[in-house]
Amino acid sequence: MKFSLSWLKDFVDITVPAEEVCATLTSVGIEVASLARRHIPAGVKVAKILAVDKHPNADKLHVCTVDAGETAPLTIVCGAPNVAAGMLAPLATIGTKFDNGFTIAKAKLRGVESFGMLCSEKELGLSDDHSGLLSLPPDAKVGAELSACYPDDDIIEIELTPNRGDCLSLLGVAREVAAKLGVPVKNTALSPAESAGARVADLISVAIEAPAECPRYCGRLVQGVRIAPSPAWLAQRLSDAGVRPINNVVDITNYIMLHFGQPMHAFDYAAIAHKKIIVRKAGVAMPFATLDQTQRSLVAGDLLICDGERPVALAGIMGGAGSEISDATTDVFLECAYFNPPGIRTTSKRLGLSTESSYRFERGVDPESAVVWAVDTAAEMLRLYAGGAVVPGRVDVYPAPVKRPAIRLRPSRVERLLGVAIPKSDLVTTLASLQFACNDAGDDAIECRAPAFRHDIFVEADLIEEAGRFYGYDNIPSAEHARVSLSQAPSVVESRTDAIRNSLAFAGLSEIVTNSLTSEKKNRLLSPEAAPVVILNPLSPDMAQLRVSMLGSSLEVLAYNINRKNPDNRYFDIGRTYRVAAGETLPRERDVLAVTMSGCFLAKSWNNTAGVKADFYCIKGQLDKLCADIGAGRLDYGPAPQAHPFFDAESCTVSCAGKISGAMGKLRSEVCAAFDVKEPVYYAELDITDFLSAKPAPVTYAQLPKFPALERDFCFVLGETVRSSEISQEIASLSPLVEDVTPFDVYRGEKLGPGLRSIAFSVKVRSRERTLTDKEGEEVCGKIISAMERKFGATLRK
Amino acid sequence: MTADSMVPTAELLAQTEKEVASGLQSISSDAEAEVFRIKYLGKKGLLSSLVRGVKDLSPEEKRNLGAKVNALFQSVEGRFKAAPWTQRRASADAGSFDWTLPGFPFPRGGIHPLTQIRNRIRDIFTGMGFDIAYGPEVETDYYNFGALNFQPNHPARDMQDTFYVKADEVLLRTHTSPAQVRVMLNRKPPLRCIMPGRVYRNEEVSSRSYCLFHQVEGLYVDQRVTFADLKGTLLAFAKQFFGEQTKIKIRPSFFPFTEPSVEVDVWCFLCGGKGCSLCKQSGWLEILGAGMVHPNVLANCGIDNEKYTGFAFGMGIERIALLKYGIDDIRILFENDVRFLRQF
Ligand SMILES: [Zn+2]
Repeated sequence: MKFSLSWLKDFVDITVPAEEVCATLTSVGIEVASLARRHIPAGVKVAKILAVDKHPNADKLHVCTVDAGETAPLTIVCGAPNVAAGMLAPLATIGTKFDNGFTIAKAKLRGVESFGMLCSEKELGLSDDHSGLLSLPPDAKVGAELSACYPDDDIIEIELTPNRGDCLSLLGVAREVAAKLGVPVKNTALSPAESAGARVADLISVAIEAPAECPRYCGRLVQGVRIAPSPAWLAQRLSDAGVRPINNVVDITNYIMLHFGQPMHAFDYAAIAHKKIIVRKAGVAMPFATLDQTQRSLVAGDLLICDGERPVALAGIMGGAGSEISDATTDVFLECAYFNPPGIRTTSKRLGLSTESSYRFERGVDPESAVVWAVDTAAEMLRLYAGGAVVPGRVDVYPAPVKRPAIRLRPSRVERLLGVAIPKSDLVTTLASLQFACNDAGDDAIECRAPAFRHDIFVEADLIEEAGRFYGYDNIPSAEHARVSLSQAPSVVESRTDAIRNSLAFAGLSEIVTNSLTSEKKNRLLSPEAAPVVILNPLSPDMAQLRVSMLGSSLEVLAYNINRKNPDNRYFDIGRTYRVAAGETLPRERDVLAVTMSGCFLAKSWNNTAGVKADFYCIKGQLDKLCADIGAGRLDYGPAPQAHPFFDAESCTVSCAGKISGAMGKLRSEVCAAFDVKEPVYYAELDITDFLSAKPAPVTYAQLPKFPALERDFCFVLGETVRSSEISQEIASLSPLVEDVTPFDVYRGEKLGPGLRSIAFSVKVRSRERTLTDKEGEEVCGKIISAMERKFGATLRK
Repeated sequence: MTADSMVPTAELLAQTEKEVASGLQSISSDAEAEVFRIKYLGKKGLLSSLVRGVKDLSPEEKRNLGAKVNALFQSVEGRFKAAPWTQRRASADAGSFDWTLPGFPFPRGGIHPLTQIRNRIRDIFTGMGFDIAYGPEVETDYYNFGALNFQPNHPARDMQDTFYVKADEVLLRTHTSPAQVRVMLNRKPPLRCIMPGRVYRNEEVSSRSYCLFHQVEGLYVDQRVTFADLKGTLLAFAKQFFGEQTKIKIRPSFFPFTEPSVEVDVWCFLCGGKGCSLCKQSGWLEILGAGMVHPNVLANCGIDNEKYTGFAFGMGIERIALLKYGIDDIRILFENDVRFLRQF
């Protein structure tokens, strides 16, 4: 909401500068979004346009002869479409200096000299209207400084939290400022000077058939209204508030809404059938044309304002087409009602139709005072500024006055919650200044009733907040000490996640943080069998589901970096994947680690010109190191599942003690291609949910060997389908003396023959009790050779 | 005794040791070094022959001399490898040695700035005795709104644009506050807990907002927790995070789940409160929302709201990252350009 400081001064005597007003607003919880000074610089004068001629060299420009009160008329080049001879408009004369530093000087425009600039409202900072020159009223004095008509003002824009609907008006803001400054709020309501003649009750009847939804309905009738532009001051206040002036009747209803916070509707009295107003709920679904010429689909229960025949307005939201004010309107029926917030919000949300009116009603307006002030003041303004005659009497249907419950406030509880003691008398003063009704209710109790315009006060804590925000939170001392609870152990999840991150980051991988929203297409590509979590109201098809795999995000990052000429990429991402859990309300969320490598793991360098390309074994080694670093134990690798959606044959499954599981390997090229990645990509995706929260296994110390080990190397030639791990396990199982089996060379070649490969192992043999003799070593060697031959048909390569 | 072994004696050992010492001293070229190696350490070298000769000693002599022979061999081998001639050679070539060539390109990784900030916040609060809890990102409407005192059909619900999974029932959490509810339901006071996590907002992606971001939520519930404790805790946090001279300023605000509710501004660390473009000339940065836990929320979680009071706070990690690093577009945090990531 935006308003001028001068308008606020209608309600409160303010002598401090605008900056201090803003500080006061902030201190009570009204956020100031902007403060702008409206200032018409000296030199902008009221000028009369004497003649308008075509510009010789430009179709859209005019050459005007202008009287600005100087001895001779001035020549001014002007492009405004509404420029006309006889019109009064503001002229920025030569030497005028605008606040932004722009100074008017003599200028040649397409070959014609111009001695100043005729201005639009926007150019003067009066509004955003740049459609043409500001047309000044005929009584403006030619040659006078325009600033005399438009004195300096400050425009304050505020942002309100949804609980403070009561501040959506000048009156509401003024109440807060006045309470803070300790001054009264002035009554700005006008009493209409009623004409003689028939009373309003004889000219229109109002009945409320839905009192729960519409507790109060007030109205007034003003006859003989002449539709015309509003007076300049009124139009300017609306412009300052960002509301476009339209005509006196519409402007007055808008003005009253901003002034008192009470939305109004003006009906053309002539269009009200049978001169009857009935407030009722729609019984059945029905179409309804609102005054913005849009057909709306109403449902049973929507609150309607009806005349004797049909609905004429969607209560509290928008009037209907056919009963609104037109240029032909003479008699105006003004509606000021109190509609209950939830009903208005329900209809407004369903129709997707939010108006200044519905915005206020759904936050709650004042059913007690402002509703009456508004309708009376509006009627009087129609008399003053639209030549109307106010019909005597006010319609006011208010069957059951809105009551506010009493809330008990204990000063001891104020101290308990705020940590500072506020004397009872101060509490009463504060609450009374905010128009709460307070009664002493014993030693440690004040009985409080919130004013009718406050819709955010329900419990004692709400009253304590009122006390706190006026006491000033900055005045509450900061505690120096706080008790520490010693009952909680340090978080295993955090220390394990840290360990994973540190291991991978130190190994040269960069952590990425990626979007967990993805497209249906990508989810289907990466995990066709998974049941994804689908967003009902996505921002775009790209973000219509939660991801079922981390791969999509990782490949997107990879493509992004490869496209930016970064060929060597190593990432990890710790995030969540989401799948619908059958029979559960909430999906299954897993903590997942994704590791991605592409290009070189070790970059090319002058003494290693090939670099080290990332490959299957690079990522495998990374995971082994990771698991050792984080104390997860050894990883087990198994054959890849058949027809994996994104891994090709060069892949395997990974698991660790039932707590980590996943798969790793080379990605299928067509999957990479779907993400515009052409290079080979190695990837691992591990579910670490259980690992993160598992209790760490105790570390026990294994005594270091006291005796030397014998090391023997073997090179076997055998079928290429025999896995290295099978050989290692076989060798290790042959004797308890075998301590370690490490492959150190693998060879395939024509010399060996088809289907064969040679694989060399280094075997370490050691006894923990004594130094082994050569003979014992030879015995183990012999066992190994014969077992390899028997089990795998392996021959020793010479 | 065989041809390539020599039975060691004490005298022979002493003499050999002397010989070797002066031999090592006099080496001054690769050729001389090779001659020395063959003479003493080679397969048929003197020391190798002595080692092989040990097996021909009597058991008593073996015990006596065997270890000495082996020790001498190993010591000579070691000294040969570290002999002064190698060092002399290096210094002789120092003129041509180019130390300016790059070192080995060990890969350098890193931890994402958002994680770094999250962990810094976490470490400060765990240092103050807060523990850590988590919650699901896909939540029920009740945990995200209802239990947190968002009244049904109230405009407060419009404060957070929500992604729904099942209309009015299941949604992507819009804040980490539902984790508070879970903590309060599952544990008994006293509670001191922070809840970091990812949250979602159905807002058009722009330089200022992303469809998801990360928050750290904090909660402290005990018998005598006051607003002064909230202030003290947040001031201590701000000083640790932004620097010892940091001040905080508190403005009234509104959240359905706290009463009173406040916004906490932190003294602008860039200009020290003087006013700059980062703080839009105000000298203050809006960092977090906080308040005293609403009695209805305590009651919804089965906590006696007469006996217990509490405070809660929440801050956005992205917002702090943008301010701290002077980043003007939130999307860059999720693009993961390695040239960006390497800067942290
Ligand atoms: Zn600053």
